[in-house]
Amino acid sequence: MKQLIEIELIKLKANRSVWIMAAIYALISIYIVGQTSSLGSSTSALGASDPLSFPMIWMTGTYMSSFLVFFPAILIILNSGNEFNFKTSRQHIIDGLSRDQFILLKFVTILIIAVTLTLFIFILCLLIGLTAENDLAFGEQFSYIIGYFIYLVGVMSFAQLIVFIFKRTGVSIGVFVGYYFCLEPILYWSVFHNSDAKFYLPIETFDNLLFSPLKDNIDNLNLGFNNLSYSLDWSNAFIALIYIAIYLLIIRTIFKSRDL
Amino acid sequence: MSSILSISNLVKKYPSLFAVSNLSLEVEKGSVYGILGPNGSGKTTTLGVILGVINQTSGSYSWFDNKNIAESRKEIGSLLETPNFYHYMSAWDNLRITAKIKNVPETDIQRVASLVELDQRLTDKFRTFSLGMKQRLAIGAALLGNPKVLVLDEPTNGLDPQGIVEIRELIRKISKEGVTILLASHALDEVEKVCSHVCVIKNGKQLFQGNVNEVLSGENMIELSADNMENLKSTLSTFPTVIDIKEENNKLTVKLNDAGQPIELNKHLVKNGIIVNHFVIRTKNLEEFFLETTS
Repeated sequence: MKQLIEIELIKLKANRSVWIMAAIYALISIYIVGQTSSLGSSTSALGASDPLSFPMIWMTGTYMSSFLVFFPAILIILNSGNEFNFKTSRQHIIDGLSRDQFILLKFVTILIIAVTLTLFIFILCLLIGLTAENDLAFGEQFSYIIGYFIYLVGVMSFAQLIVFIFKRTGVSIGVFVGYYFCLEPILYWSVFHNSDAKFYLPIETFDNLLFSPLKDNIDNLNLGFNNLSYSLDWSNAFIALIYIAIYLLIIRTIFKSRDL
Repeated sequence: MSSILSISNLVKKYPSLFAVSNLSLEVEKGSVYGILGPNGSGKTTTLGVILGVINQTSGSYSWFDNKNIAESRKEIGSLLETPNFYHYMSAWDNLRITAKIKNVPETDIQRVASLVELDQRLTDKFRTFSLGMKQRLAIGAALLGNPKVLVLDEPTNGLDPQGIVEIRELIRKISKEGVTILLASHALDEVEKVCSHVCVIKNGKQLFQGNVNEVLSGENMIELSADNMENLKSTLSTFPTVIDIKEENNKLTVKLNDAGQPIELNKHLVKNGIIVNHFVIRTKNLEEFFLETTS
């Protein structure tokens, strides 16, 4: 496992697009959270005082940065797309990885990015919370940090599935963007609008993990699927993990049956 | 002699054709084994299967009689078709990844880099390399960790004459160190020059398997010419060990059977008063053997 992590770190470190996207991601998330500070005095939907102070910040911060999930997802497509484009997926097998190990290797990339971003959001929330001048508190809201991690792993696994199906970076980005911004919203708001099935769409399943504690989001929350709570909905988290496992199984089936 | 690779009844079927059909072979330790065949004959498919990147339709293979196929691949250095590296990464980083997959210490990178004469270019990005350098880097990667076996697919493809000579020298040098080499090629002289054993395949079928010396010895060919060609020809045709006479470029090429001795043939000609002005003994080359076998 250590060896797989080291291999992926070499690839990520040397890749300029990783650094560019990381910089854009960091700047935008700092900007968004900064903008949210102007709402500092508003009350939260849950009646708690300040969404930017402990412990509500764990909920606010993770929800806000979930809008940027597009970046790590594209990064996964670029990273795995390289393996198919440069035929290094083939070379890795020739050099002695089993096909299962290669899939694990690509999942390690997801984990590395998810851990890094979760740490980043943790520190960002910590700093914002501390500037709000109240005492450090984790509370049950801290479970949203775990939710955020699962959310990242989930959306990136979906992106991984797409790139394993289509292999070509450009096509995969097109399919991901098309699905994420067009097809799933259409499915959500029209086809499945009157059914609970809409909560189990491939991306929506992960979106269900994170919530804004701000008052203007309350209408969304009242759609009926989620119980308003300070804590991560663990049953949703469990369903999300099952989706990740399903995506991995499909990736495995595709990759094992394919001639490289 | 222990077996390094054994393939039995390997079949790879694509929707419209059999790329490999019922191929079986044994590669023994220390040999330089050539898989010879025209383009599209199933050489690369065969190598792809034994290196784990192509799923066979049926049949089996094993390396070093080992059960874990992925683990045994770590002891095989391979160059299959084009070199596969990350264009945006330096040669050094690319080799580090290979070394990590094969569980080889990074200190070995310097050794293979100087072996393929790329030690001065290690920090340069792969995309800045020439075709020959890319090929050499791939061979360097294949040599990481002193593999027991080298699998090379058309290793001199696309190289200039000097590059070809260099790669051949390298193959000979490595084989002298006791490394078993499996080489696929359509370049006959390449196989003839470096291989000890050869397997000829065409349309996925195995036509011949055996020792290169066996192929190249046996029948003798003699090239002759004389002032009176008609006379020469008729005299030759009465010699008992001559089995074939061909005329081309004003020379006769005579094929003798296994018992035929060139010196006896010469005596026969002298006895009949024919003085030749050209007499060259040619052992059969692989090209003739190949054309014979595949046609």
